[in-house]
Amino acid sequence: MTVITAVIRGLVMLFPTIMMVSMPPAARAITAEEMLADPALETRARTLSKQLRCLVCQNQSIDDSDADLARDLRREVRTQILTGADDQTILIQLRAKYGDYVLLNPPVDRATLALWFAPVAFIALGGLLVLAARRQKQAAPAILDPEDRERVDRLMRQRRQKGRPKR
Amino acid sequence: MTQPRLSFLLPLLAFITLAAVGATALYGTLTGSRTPDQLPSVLIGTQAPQTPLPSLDQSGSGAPVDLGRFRGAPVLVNFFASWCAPCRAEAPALEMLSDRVKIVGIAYKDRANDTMSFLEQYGNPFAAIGMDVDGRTGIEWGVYGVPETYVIDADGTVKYRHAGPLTREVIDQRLMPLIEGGGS
Amino acid sequence: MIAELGHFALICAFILSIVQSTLPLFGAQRGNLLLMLSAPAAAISAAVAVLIAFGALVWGFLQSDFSLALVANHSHSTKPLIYKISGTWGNHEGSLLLWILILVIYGAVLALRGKAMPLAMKARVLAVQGMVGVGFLAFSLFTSNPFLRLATPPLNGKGLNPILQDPGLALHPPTLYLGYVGLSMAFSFAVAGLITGDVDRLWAKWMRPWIMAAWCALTLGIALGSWWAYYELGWGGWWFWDPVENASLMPWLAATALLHSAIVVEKRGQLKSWTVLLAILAFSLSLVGTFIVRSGLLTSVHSFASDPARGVFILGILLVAVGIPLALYAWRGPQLVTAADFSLKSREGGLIANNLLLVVATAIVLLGTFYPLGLELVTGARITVGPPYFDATFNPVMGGLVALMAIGPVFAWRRGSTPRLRAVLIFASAGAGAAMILLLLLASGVSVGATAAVMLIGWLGAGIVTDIWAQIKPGQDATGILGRARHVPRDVIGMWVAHFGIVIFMLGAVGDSLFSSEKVVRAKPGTVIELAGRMVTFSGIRQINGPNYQALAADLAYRDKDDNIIAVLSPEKRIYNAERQSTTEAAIRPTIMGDDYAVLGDGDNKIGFTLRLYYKPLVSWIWGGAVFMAFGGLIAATGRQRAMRRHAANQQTHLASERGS
Repeated sequence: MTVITAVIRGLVMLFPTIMMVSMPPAARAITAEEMLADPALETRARTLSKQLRCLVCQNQSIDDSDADLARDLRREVRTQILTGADDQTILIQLRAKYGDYVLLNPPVDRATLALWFAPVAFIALGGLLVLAARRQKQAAPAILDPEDRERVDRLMRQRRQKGRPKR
Repeated sequence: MTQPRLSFLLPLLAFITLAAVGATALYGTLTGSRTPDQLPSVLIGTQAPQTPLPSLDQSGSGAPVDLGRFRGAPVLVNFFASWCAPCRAEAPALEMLSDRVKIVGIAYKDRANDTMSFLEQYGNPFAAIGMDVDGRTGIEWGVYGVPETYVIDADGTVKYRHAGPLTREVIDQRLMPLIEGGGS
Repeated sequence: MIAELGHFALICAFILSIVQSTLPLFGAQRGNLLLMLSAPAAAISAAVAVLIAFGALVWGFLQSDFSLALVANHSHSTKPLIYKISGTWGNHEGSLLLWILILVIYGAVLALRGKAMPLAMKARVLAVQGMVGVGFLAFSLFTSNPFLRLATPPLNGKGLNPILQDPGLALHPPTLYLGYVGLSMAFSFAVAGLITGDVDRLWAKWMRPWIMAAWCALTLGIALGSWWAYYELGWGGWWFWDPVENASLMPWLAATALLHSAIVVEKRGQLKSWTVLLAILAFSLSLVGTFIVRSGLLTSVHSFASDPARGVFILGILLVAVGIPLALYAWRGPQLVTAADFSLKSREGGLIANNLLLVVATAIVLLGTFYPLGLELVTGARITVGPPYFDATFNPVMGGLVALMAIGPVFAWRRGSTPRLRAVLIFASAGAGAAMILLLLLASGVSVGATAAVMLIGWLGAGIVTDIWAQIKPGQDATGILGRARHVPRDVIGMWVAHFGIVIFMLGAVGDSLFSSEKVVRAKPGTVIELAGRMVTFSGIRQINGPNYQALAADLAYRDKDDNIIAVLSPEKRIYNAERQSTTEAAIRPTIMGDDYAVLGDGDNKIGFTLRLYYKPLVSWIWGGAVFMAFGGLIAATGRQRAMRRHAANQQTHLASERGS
């Protein structure tokens, strides 16, 4: 279980992290004073901020929010960056204080295995159902044109409803 | 007929699962067993953070507040602020509690003068008061709003956190059992 | 008095809906003409009644009648007129009444038109529609009565949330509801079809205009909501994977699958059980969306004041309105299956894949939205499923769908590829390659996801253009381009336009996310800021006295390289008097190539003001793409009407002659 978890965790962390690190940051509720002098560090700070939830807002990241707590957490992130901590450490530290709830990207562990597995499972299940249905549907060759077949079906139904014997 | 019957049942089963989640959640919300605005504290079961804080007292000087001083008996840690309206509402409750257990107050993002005025007006139930001027101690504790109250047992382990003003119910049902339970 | 009249009208509508949902079913079962005719009669009368009720409520808001609890809680006498009117639906009770109004109007329209449909069918469809009406009218009358009076009316009301005091409020909810509620028509057709078993090509033909109308409205409604969030919330985002946004996306995904699936039923008589299921699912997801917004179970910027007690009622409606049809589907669904007469490598196969991918995408959004709640109930743990999750799971599935979009329509019905397919594959690949090269030239350090998106844009764009060219290029018989174009059926043109709308949408999304520039500064009046080739001069701050607010506005003069003034933007910070809330009004200068977006932050003249300036290339293409999609749908919908009526008329004569024998 742990090996699979680790692999998934790795793959899953990779995707959004790459997506975010390489995109130019869009400043949201930030003020000029909060920004770090070094643009590379500031980029890191914004990327991290976009992965952290503002706990007193309705579904916003601390990067987007104007709330006081968001501002404090943004400052905390930058303080940590300046002390040389790497991204994972900062996220782990905040997670240790506020729980998984503060991460906008749900962690990969036993509790969220279903969440992360589900998309693949859905596709596989759907594909299997479609293929299974086809194997069984291939039974009768199509003698009639679909339009004609429907007219026959409708007539049969009407006759049945009126109690006439099928001819 | 020709299609496996089961696949036609799947949508219904999926819906029933979803409805069950919704129904359980609603039931919990209506009976009060579910408290969505209370974030469970991650610190529960761990040692309380030991960050010493500059103390507030009438002369403005004093030894820094250190939780280690209170080992040996349960203690409450209450985050409050002069600008926090619900904190005023819970002041009487804290007064009453202070007879039974020591309470350490942490003034969260507040100014010394404002804190002192607040205490003069609403009473001072605290055995010691620390000043968390920039909110960093709050982050240490996982505070996300004021007021918040933590129950620390005799060994210094965090046992419980209540976010929001203390009510009679919370005190009787949650805090007192832990305080009277005493130790670990 | 007027409010009481409205209340009485609502009660009448409730009773009429009960009639509409019961009598016609007996009538259709027994062939009783009079009972069947009660359906259109009840539907039209119910619509009139709800119209009266709604009018009464709007009147109450217009007159600022603070003896009405709803008006007192959500309105104020100084509110501008347009917000007094549109404020009618800026709250739970009023928006619910709007929902009901649109529901009964749809029913009335079917009652008045749809003459090609046999009465028995129409009676059943209207009966199901009536049942939905009964549920929601009961919800309104028993738990969310908009006409409640206050014993002691206040002198003035509490006002409307300033964020809602915006033209968006006038447009977004009605358009969105036209979509949500429009799906109830397809739902009614599906349930009526399940009851009788008459799910066939005619059934699909009758259903299509309703699906198209709902889908177009829903597309526009979601786009409006996204655009509104963009300019109102003040940080330039346009989609947040918020539960309420997800609540609108899920029906849209299902409706998209539905409209494609219905094509197959109409043209080939295949995929019937799929289509019935999708019709039920699409409206069920609308109802689930209602549940999300109004039960308070999920936190959202958008939700109305939460009331779990109301949530229980909606859950009840859901259990009946979704549970029963799905049970009916489990029982009757297998009977709808016809033997497949097509290979998987065909247009039918492509549309099955389309259905599959869209349903999977819907399931992902549904799971992500409800997982935190489910986990909390089971283990007590609190997690957040935010944008990063959906970006990692939903985007790849939609990417697959976009890839399919270029080649699916080029396959032939029943089996095999067309000569067009090879051309499309070649040019689509070339398009993808060209797009990637262009991207590498213009940007560096782009992520895997973004690169894939850009390649898909090239793939789909080139694929569509190739398909168009293949069909309108001058033929061997010397007909010109225009001649051939005139012969292309309207629904094909609609498809091209709608699919191209996706290309435009993706260009907007990619342009904004990859190529935006921003500057955040603390500026005093006189400062000049450089952004994306413009020089922005912060001239100063001035005070504004609005109709019901006070504001500070910053004047920003944008100049180009030759020092000509391009524009003056004036972002504001407003404080609303009655509601005592503040908002930030971003100043936006939209152009086709990009938006200039300016936000005023805190500060004063001594230390300066925080200014956030953005340049967002192609961002309006996001909503432009959605408009294109809706327009394509409109083209496709109108094309079918004439052909449909002619065909239906032929069918009627055929059936009539057969019944006689």
